[in-house]
Amino acid sequence: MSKEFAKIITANRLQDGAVVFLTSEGAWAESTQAAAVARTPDDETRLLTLAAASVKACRVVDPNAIDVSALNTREPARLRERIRQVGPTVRPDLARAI
Amino acid sequence: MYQYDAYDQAMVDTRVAEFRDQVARRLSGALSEEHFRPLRLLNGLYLQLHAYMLRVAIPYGTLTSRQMRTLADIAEKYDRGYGHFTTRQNIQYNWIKLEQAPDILADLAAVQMHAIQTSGNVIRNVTADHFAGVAKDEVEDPRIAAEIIRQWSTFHPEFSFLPRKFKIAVTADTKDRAAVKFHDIGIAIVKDAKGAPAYDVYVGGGMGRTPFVAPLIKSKLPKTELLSYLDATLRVYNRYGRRDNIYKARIKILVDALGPEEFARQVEDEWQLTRQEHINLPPEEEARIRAFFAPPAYTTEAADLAANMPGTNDPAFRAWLSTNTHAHKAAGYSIVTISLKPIGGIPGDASTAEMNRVADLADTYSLGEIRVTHEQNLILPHVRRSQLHALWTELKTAGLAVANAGLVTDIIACPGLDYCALANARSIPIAQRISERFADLDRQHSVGELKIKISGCINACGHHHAGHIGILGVDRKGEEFYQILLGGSGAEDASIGTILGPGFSADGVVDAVETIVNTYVDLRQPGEPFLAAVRRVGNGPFKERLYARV
Repeated sequence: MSKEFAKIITANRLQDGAVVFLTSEGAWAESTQAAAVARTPDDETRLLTLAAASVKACRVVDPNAIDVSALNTREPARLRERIRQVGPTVRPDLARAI
Repeated sequence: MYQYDAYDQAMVDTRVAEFRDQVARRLSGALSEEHFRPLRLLNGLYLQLHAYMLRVAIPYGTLTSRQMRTLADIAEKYDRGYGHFTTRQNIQYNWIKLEQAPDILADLAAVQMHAIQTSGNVIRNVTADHFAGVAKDEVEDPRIAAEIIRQWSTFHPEFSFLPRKFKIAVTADTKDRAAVKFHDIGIAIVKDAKGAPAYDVYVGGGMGRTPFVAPLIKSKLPKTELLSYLDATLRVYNRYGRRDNIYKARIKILVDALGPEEFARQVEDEWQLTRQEHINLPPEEEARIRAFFAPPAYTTEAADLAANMPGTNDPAFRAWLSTNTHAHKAAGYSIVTISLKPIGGIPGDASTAEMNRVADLADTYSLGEIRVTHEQNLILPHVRRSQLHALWTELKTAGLAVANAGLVTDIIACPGLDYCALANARSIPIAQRISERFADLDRQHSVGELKIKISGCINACGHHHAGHIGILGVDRKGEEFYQILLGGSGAEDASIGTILGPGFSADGVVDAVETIVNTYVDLRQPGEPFLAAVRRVGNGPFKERLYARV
């Protein structure tokens, strides 16, 4: 079975480095819940273009598209991205709200 | 310890002002990320998984209590109430805001600290034996040479764009606590034929994806010629080190490619030029720096010199004495290790409260001085033996009296995938679970000296190559896996561990470590430490036990 195409765009906010996710309106949210999901490569390109405009506007750095494995929760597929989403696994007291 | 003069202070203050301007220009958009990135890295500011990370230099691991309080204040005011002491005697803060970074650097500058030389392809913060100046058998205080090298290398225009980062460590004891043979340049201060201090210079050691134990390039270099010889070594590296491939750019690759003899010959040729260039330090300047490291006025009260000390009828205190105190060069004094490895804790992490408490204890018991070790612990270097029990009692109240220095739970671990953008796997949870598995202190003491070192990627910040048991985290098709190495050492008998066999899952690696330890306990001869046993029997018996059930 081929894997379903589902990506969201993440970056770090320029001012404080916080992990953020691109919404469909071109804003940046700290929760994946508000993230726009690209269901096709064209969607992904469109969202990355929006993200590039944010880089130019000095709002974020290092935007990139990441796979999400569960559409409803928008949970990132890779452990690295899940740790970015939630915070260090060894400091649950510092965990971010998803 | 060394005190900034007006020139030092002006240099650091100017750098803070310069970075403040650069940050303002970045935030306004006048500087792009591409242009700003190398500038922030030159000030120790990285972008990691969760936020900006600031790495602060602690030159040769020496801190005053006042400086420690500033580190605590920074953790509280600008971060999330903790810092992480690293394997290169630095401290890292994990939750820094770019807009506040200049204020942090200003706070550091106010106590003669900075984040210069903690990133980039420059000569990095110079490290040294954490027992410097107090080790019973050292030839002389290695921090004098380390401070000279720090001043020579800071903003050195010729060595600001090296092929790759460059790390120097200095020791002056036959027992190497600074891992000098795993550095780009390792300096061991020895005695020459006349009994005067001289330098053995090791070049081309390192860990990472291609580990090497550094060969001896120059034996008994006269002390007065240190800087000209270092200059010659760096010039040969700067000229011939590879810039075409980041993985082959460290000096260790050049030394290996040329061979140590040919590399030494080329340095020797270059040195004949550099030693004529008046690069060496004038004797009066050496004397000025040396004066900062003069031994403090030690007490000679009878109570400190007596063989008996209070509290030794307490077994818990005796256990701590046996592992966490060390011979001091002054009669009546001990060196104390404060373990930052509580059972199940995060190696090297210290909270604001803990940093402040250690600063207070340093004032009360250690002449206001603290050291940071590359093994991610803290040291109180000047403790009167008559006060050891009182200190231990206070450490116990603060949760800082864990009697495990050098034992199986005194684990080095890099931040790993929990924080680091380069990591492939987590290191800290593995360290925590091994620590919990061996929580029983009697068992730890019965196993004896055992150094476990864990890295979350091949860059080896957790020194896994030099672990008696080394653990390397890898990403195997999206799953964390852990390779185990055996027989490494970062000490004077430096060696690189060898891989035992197929890796283990995150769940399996803790069991595997326990199997290795149990195998050692079964096969050791009376009094034989772990590393000696591994060297005697080889990996065979461990592999047999480890993989028999697979």
